[in-house]
Amino acid sequence: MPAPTRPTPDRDSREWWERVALGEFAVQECEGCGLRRFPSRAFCVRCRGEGRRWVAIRPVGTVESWVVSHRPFGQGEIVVTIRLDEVPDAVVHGSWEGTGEPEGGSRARAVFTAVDDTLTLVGWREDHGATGTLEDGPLATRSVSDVRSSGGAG
Amino acid sequence: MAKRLLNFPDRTAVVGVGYTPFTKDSQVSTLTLACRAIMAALADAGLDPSDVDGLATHRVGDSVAPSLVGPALGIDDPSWYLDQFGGGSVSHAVAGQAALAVAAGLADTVVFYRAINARSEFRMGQAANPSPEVQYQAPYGLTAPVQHFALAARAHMLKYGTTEEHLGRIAVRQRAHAAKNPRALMRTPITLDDYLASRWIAEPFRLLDCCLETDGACALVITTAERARSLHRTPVLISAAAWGGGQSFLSGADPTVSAAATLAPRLYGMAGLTPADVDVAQLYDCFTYSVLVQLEDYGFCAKGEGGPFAASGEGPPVNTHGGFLSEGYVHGINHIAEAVSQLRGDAGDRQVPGARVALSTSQPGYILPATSALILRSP
Ligand SMILES: [Zn+2]
Repeated sequence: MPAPTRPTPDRDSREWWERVALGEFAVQECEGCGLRRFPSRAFCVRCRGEGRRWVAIRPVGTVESWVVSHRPFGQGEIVVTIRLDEVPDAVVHGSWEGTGEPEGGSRARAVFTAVDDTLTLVGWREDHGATGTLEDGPLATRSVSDVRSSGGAG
Repeated sequence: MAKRLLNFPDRTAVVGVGYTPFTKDSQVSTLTLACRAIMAALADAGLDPSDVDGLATHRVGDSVAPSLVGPALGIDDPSWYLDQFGGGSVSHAVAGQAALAVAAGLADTVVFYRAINARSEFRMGQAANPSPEVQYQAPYGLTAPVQHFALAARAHMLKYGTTEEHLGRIAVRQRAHAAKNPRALMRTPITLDDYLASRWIAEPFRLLDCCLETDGACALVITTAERARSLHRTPVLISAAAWGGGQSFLSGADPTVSAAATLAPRLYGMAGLTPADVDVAQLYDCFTYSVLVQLEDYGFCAKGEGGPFAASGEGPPVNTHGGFLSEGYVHGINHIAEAVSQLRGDAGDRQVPGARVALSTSQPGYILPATSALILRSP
């Protein structure tokens, strides 16, 4: 697996990446109207307020689509679009780390992978009925070597 | 329907079209391509660079600005210019803004050009991309437009039962059009089996779902409808121009609905026309799916029925030049040029008999969350 392109966090997103590095999937919640939003940004699209707080959410959702990339864009890697349970207006993209190809509408949960000391990425795999509460225990944080040995994202 | 504006529809016209050859390696600079296409368009119009007082283009760090092209052709002091950032989604907006400048009297004769060495120098997606969304995608290998469109196409398949055969029929039909177009890069007819046998690029897209990144340029001359009457080409009136619409893909918008869905009512309303009035449609076809979703969102069939509709060939002829899939990829402007040709009646073997109204569209908002489109008509 080639080294991933490193993200370039900006002033809106830096804290999101910092929380991901700690194994937390957080989104912003508007202090005015309570609307949750992802990706992170300054203004609430509903009430246009700037006040917001970070809230950890269950990193689970539904597979809305996926693409299997071939050369020159990849070698069979799958990227999924996940619609988040707790932020239904938002989708997130990430590597598919499940078994085989995903299925439309199937349930998925996040897999946190520490690439190195300063970068953690969020992939997705099937959610076998887990409720996805934070009390399920620490979110699986796998090392790069684990990903390689499991075949990773292919 | 939006209220019909009084001071824009049919006030301006496209009076000249010019091309360079479409190739895989032009061996010349984008400045040279731009100048050649502009000179060809002016020759077509029966005009000279000294008649030009406006220049417009769009680019994504891959081409030359009006401030460079103007002096290169002795157009030293254009009274209006536009150098818009953007790719395929803005192509028709640039034409629309050129028409707006002419309609407002800021310029009398504007040339819109687009020149790219998209095969030999700047592959799409390699140019600087300022979007903050990239950070959430690139680390997972999601970097290319083909992948984004493939995600949308897959979502359409899951939601509406759209099939690969539906997509394949679009590619096959456009190649048949290209076989009648001497400019087209790919003119050998293909079958559905050829389509299904072509290699995967980004599933569910195969090679034959994808446009031909091309070296080439195209230019259009736009002037007032009044002046157009004294020129030697049949003028093609700009009845409507619209840009905008859409939501960011990453914001969670339904990927089976394109920006065209919100833009289309405004566009048709400005022209005072409906989809049933369209005789020929040039729909932005970076990938087969973008044709399918635009057939729905520009109102030619119901939402969800784009697959069977496209496969059947119902509705107006689409991408009569072969489109980006088979003619070549000049980022939208060659769709407008083909629409002009059809309405002038000089499209040769691929002429749609009696075509009087054409729709021509831009990338329907899957990369930048906006699109643009024109309705053109013969006088
Ligand atoms: Zn709010």
